[in-house]
Amino acid sequence: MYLTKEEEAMLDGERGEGLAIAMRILAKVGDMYGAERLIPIESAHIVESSYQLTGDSGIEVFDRLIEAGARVSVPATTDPCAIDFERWRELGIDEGYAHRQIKLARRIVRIGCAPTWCCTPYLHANVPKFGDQLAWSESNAVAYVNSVIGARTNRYCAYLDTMAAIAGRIPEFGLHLDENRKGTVVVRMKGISELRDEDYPVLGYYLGSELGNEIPVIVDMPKGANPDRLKALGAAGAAAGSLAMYHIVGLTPEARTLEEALGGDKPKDRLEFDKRTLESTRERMCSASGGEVDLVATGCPHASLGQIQRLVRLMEGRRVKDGVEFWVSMSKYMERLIGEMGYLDALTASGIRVISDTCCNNAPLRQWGFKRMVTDSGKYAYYAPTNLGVEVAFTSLEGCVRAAVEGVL
Amino acid sequence: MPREIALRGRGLVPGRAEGEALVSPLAFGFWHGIDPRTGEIVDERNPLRGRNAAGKVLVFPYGRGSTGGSSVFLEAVRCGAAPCAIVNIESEPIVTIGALMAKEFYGKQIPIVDRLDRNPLEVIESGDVVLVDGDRGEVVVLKRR
Repeated sequence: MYLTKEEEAMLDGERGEGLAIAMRILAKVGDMYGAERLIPIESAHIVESSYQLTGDSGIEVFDRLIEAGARVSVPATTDPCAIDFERWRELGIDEGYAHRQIKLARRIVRIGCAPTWCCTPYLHANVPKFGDQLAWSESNAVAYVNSVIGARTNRYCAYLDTMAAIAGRIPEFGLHLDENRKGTVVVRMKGISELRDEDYPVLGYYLGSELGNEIPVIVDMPKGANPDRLKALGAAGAAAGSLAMYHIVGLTPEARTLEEALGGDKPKDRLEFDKRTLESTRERMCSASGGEVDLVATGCPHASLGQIQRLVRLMEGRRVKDGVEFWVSMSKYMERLIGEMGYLDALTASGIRVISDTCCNNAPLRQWGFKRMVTDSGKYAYYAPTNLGVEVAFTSLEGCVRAAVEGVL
Repeated sequence: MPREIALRGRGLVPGRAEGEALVSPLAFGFWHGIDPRTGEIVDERNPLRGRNAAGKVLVFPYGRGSTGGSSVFLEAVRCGAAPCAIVNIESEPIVTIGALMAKEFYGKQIPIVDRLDRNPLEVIESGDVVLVDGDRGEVVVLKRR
């Protein structure tokens, strides 16, 4: 990979050891993936904020970066942690564990990252525009900013994101380049005139589990997709597979027409997504078919204001049944907003627990001994069996409320 | 005499390592895929669940799932529970960065080779002894049977 004189100097340690570490990793990645050069990035979003992911090696990595004088050079936001910084005791999280998470978080902020602890930075705090080059991890965010906004990032990962944030650069390969953003498989919606909220994660789950690294182009998409729905689609696809980008003809910015989305190439495959596929995929997402429910969880990815408003309305005059936990996860920023709006009190009064800075995928929650979880998140449906050891039923937000109020599926 | 098969591909992360193969037929993610303290495979959907990847040559087609995987991998390195080498059809950054970080921060070399001239999932079976040479992009398989 070609390096400018300035980049050579950074690599050689002339601009400090922190930049040299970052450049060593970036130069190797560039060589590995055949990049010709480094390009400047507008922002980064990093995922090694969760102690559940990093363990003590995360603390050791950031200790060395701080010692080496590393600082991020572009805006860098942070993914959820393994604890809610204010409620970890009530979540039953071990004190030693919580303190190690706090240590990790302090070090991440010390090198200049913003303590957003949120997986939807694209809705606030770190909002890219069309064409921006980025180094983002967090798979749902990667799918969203590539597809819905038309910004450019590969599915980066823990530590590479921070190295890019320090250097303010990323090797130019993959989705940074026009030719790799073309759709490769056409998925035609057949006989589907309407998709409800709860159908979007199912479509995403299908794309992720069936298409591997391909870039789907969705044709004949019914009207009604909105940011919450697309967020849910991408999150499910990126969890169940490696979905980093999709096009929806007539909706996403690089797919005004099918021809534009395919970039003049012939698709490798053409698939049809019909009601049967929708239902069979939904069944695959569920491991629980009936019985008592002990956990209902929403807010994965972190809940938006619109989703919280809907939840408040649905819970009006209703209460979560005793013995059932109903959790909604969001950013601390969102919690502050809904606190001032009175929604936080309304949710708490109805028996819902608000969890911020973290979520059911990132927090150690086995001590709760949950057996059966109901969720409207395709990403929770994918990870909860492993993280929590639960059976999962995937449903709508209305279905979640019903299960929480009645205590059964 | 065990049958020996040599494969050539792309050496992504340098170093040489030899170990027993553990082959996942499914794409693999380290987050919720492996317990970094022990090396045990914990992915509920993977047929390798319950097997241990520590010190093994881990073979899987592609990386998948959450982008936090590289930090879980590095933690496994710190705990001495990481695979000794990785062989993929195609390795994405989620797989390779953990190994680059292992070298930079812990001085450990975990070679990774991908894009082999034959599909490694059709050639390598769990239990085969595999030598991975990340410098030359070579994989030598000693068939168990």
